[in-house]
Amino acid sequence: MNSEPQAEIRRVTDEDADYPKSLRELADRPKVLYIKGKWPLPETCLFGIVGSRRATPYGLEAAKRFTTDLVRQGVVTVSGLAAGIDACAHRVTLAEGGWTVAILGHGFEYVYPKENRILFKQIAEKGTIMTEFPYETPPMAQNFPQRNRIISGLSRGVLVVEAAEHSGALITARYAGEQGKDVFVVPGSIFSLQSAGCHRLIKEGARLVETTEDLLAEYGCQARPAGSERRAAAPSDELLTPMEKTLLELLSCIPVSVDELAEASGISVDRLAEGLLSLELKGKIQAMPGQLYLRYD
Amino acid sequence: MIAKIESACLIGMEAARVQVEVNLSKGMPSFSIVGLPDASVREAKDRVVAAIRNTGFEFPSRRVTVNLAPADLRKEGACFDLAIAVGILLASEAVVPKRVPRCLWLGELALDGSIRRVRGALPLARSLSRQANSSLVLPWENIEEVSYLSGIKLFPFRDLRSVVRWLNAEGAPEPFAAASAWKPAPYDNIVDFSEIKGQMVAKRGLEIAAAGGHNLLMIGSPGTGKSMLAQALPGILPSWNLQEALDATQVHSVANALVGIGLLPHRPYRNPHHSVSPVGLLGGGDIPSPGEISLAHRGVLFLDELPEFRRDALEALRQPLEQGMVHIHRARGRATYPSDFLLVAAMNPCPCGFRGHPKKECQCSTVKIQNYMGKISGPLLDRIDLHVELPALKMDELFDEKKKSESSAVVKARVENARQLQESRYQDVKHRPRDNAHLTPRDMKRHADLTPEGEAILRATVERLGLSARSFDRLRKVARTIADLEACEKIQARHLAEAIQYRCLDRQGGMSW
Repeated sequence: MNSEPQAEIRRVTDEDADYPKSLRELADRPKVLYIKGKWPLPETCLFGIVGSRRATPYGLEAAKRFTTDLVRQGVVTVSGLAAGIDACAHRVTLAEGGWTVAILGHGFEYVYPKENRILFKQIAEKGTIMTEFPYETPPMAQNFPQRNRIISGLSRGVLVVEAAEHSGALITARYAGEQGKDVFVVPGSIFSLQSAGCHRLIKEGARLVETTEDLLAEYGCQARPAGSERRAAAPSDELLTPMEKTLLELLSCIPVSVDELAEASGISVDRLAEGLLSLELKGKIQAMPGQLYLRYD
Repeated sequence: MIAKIESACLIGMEAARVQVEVNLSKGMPSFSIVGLPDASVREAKDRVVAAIRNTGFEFPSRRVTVNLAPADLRKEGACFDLAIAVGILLASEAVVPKRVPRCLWLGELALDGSIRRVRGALPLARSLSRQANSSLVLPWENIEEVSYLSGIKLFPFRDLRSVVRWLNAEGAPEPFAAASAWKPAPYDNIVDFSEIKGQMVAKRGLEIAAAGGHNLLMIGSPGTGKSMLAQALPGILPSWNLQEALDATQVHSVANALVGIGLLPHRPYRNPHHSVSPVGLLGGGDIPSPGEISLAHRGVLFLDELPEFRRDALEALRQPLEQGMVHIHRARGRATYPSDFLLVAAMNPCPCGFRGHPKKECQCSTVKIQNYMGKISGPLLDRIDLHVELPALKMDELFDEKKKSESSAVVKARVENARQLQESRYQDVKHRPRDNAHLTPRDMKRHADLTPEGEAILRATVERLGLSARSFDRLRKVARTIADLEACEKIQARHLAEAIQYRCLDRQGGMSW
């Protein structure tokens, strides 16, 4: 349950001036949008990044790389705040200090999936959350596909990172095709079920991308070299204990197990627990199923 | 002519004395047994007749009536054979001893007159040893399991002939190695902690489980070593004393599961297959007999593939887990068996087993995963203090010979220290909890109090991570044990922080990804 007061929610109809232009062009555009966070949206540089909810480590790594590069080019990312690739795209955008737009398939009363509640709050503060559904609409399976038309509609193009044969990401790609947007696809292993949908898109004519340069070349712009330098420590890091700092250094948005952390840091697992919980409470990291942790900020 | 001698039978784990009265009267030769005998007792007739004849005595050609009193207690089993035979020999004056010894007679007869082992000799003898001046005649084959008892005189015999010689004061019972100093046997053939690669969090979880008596659930993909870890658990449990060994062995004695080994050499480790029926798990049957949970008394019960177990079997575990004993009621009797065991359960993170696996792909739909997790009910999970998730091992970790981890002996030493602390702490508590896991809320206020920092962490965890409040007590108990492992009298914030890591299923969203 989301406890934020309803008052913070902005209501925009398709007759308002700040209704996104790109959506206005759609025949099945939402009449009303409910919005939290930064508004209005920029008009040109939005880009959709979507993919499987059950992403593989390969998919997460790919999503991270493309998102990082795109955000450094000044792109605003759009995705569906689902688990897996969507969450990764939002998270990496925020970590890079970028602007990310999340499109919900339900009303603001709910946070779905629940693991994303911290991410939800962060996007509401630093990005934009948008839905066409009224406040009380619960998450219902039949509502999710239609929000995908907003993702593709807002975006200039859509990047599909990983998608299984019947993935919702394929629906987004289909909408994008119908709306005349570009569809880019990251290829995967031929043995991976989580890439089967991607490969079908490629066979149907979507553009295969290996690097961000491939993608940017389509728009005729030169990629700025992706800096590999580590971000400077944020000022809030000053409050961390030495152990917490060590752990943060070791964590990234690719999940790492506690065993691996113990090994890499040389701290025993019983001591690690304290640091991990404290970091989690500070909202810096998140625990994932399978004794895994990933960095949040 | 009438003869009265005493025997006994088991009701649950307690002995009930049974008077065997033999009356010989004139009339058509016949042999009848009364006093609610079941089929195996009624069949004693044929065994007794043959055994008496083959020992070289005449079976009286009179009307033989055997009464087993009290008449309203159902008697089952072959343990009255010896008492009936001796009663007949005394009543027919084939044997005329100067003095009939006051003792209880137990034993099944073979047709040639030799005496066979009986079921449940240990609990019978142990229960009798609590009464003053008890002496017991029993089969030689049972002497190994009861020889460690004190407070009871034992007369073991191999056959009816030597019993008669003893009655006539012509011979003495065979001497047996009396209760020599008992020592727990060392574990051999057991997985040592140092043999298990990686899985440091799981090992730590097992250490906490062993130290505080906390039940544990392991969640991990196939091949992460769940069964191996469970098998290593008995090796870090504290060594047991004679009383505990007797506690555990007497259940096995009732179940007739002791085969010439005397006392159990070490704590039992039971891992029933997931197709086990509720009766097989809890005990029961037409005539109640102990199930797996009682056979695991004072030891470890490992339930692999927990969601595959029958739901009714799992649900029935709740009461024994709470009370440390199980009550069985059947049409033909009722019984209470002890069931104080450490529950270790294991399950996959999803039906296919590969959710969260770094290499393999999970093929399960969200609904399937929810159904799978839903098979384990909340009330059962509530009785499991520790949830441990096992990450999949990487190939190089499996083959890394250089990596050394602690041996079971080192961990066991820590566990025993923690147990000692608990024992001395709870000495003067009213209902004397066995270990931290069995603390009552009232004891906890006194013995597992939190520091203000600890409370702050707990509050923050509930607010920010959505930890459900019903796991508070579990958390405090686990934190108490973690503090004990460090020999720390006050529970610090770090102990609580570690305990929270072992409640992953209580977090909001639980296992959903």
